Amino acid sequence: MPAATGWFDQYAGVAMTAHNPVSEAELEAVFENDPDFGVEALFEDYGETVFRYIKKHGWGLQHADWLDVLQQTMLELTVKARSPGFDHRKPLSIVFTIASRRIKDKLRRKKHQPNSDPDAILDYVAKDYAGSEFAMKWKYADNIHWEDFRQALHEIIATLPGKQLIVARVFVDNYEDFRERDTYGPLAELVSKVTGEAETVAGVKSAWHEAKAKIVRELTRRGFNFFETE
Amino acid sequence: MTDRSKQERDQRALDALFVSQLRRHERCDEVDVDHLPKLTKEEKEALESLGPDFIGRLLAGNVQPIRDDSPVENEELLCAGGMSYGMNRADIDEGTAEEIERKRNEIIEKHNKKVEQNE
Repeated sequence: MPAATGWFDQYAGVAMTAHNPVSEAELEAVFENDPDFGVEALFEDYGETVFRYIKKHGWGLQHADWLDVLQQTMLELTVKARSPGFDHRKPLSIVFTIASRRIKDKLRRKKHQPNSDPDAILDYVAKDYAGSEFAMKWKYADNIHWEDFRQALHEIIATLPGKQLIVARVFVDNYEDFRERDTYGPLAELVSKVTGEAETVAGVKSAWHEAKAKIVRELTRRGFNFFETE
Repeated sequence: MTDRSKQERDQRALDALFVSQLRRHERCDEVDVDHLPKLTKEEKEALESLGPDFIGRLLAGNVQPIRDDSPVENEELLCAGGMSYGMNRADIDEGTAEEIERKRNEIIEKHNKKVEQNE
């Protein structure tokens, strides 16, 4: 990202630097006065943030896909910002919302079938936690910073090799369906749609277990050491 | 409990942990920007591959929508600006289009000057 140079001081009233990004309230003022400047200011100070958001929610896709999403998002933001009556409030929320939609589009075009209902997994998560000492350790641990844990998890999972990454994404997106039927058969079918190859049950099961082992190793290395059992 | 069943339970618990964290709902107006995943060197390079003049090209109309990527989902941006967001979809009349074009040219000129100064 190029360093900000204070060129939109006229709107924000404060000098901007790379270490002092414009606030969302200040961005609102920029968008209200000049939408194109708003787009430029937002990308200048938050382009990398938007890309990190795309990495978080678009995990399982390729870097080129993330770039497609980013370009499409900024294009749509520009069109909307130039439209008469544009509601300039919460421009960061607008850009995250557009990015979120385009990530879902991209995943579907890559033949993923993400279930988006967060409540649909609750019963199955509770059942899978039941009776595990493992789960008790982290459920009642008071020294886990879950925001840090999630950030680390997203960083690690993005480093998985191709097949493991696809299997992980499909497993997470469709977990409740697999638990309902208690078999890896549907996972193999869905992964086959994404890869375009006939995947075996044993193959996807093995890939998921290898992926989990890698994630646990790296999380442990980063200090999340509650995976060990006595 | 046998070792095998214990191992299976722990694997299932791990599945549940990862799924519950990775599918955690995040409202688009409550994004925790301080905890977004960091970019690797390769990912930063990918971002930089857009070029320093990316926004200039975009504002000039030289960045085209990706052909096979037209939205399959056209829901309202409900959490972005609330109900009034529907107004953003209004058509642009001729006068407004001219005004946008004038402003766009101004911005491109300013942007180009800035790029020249930085070079």
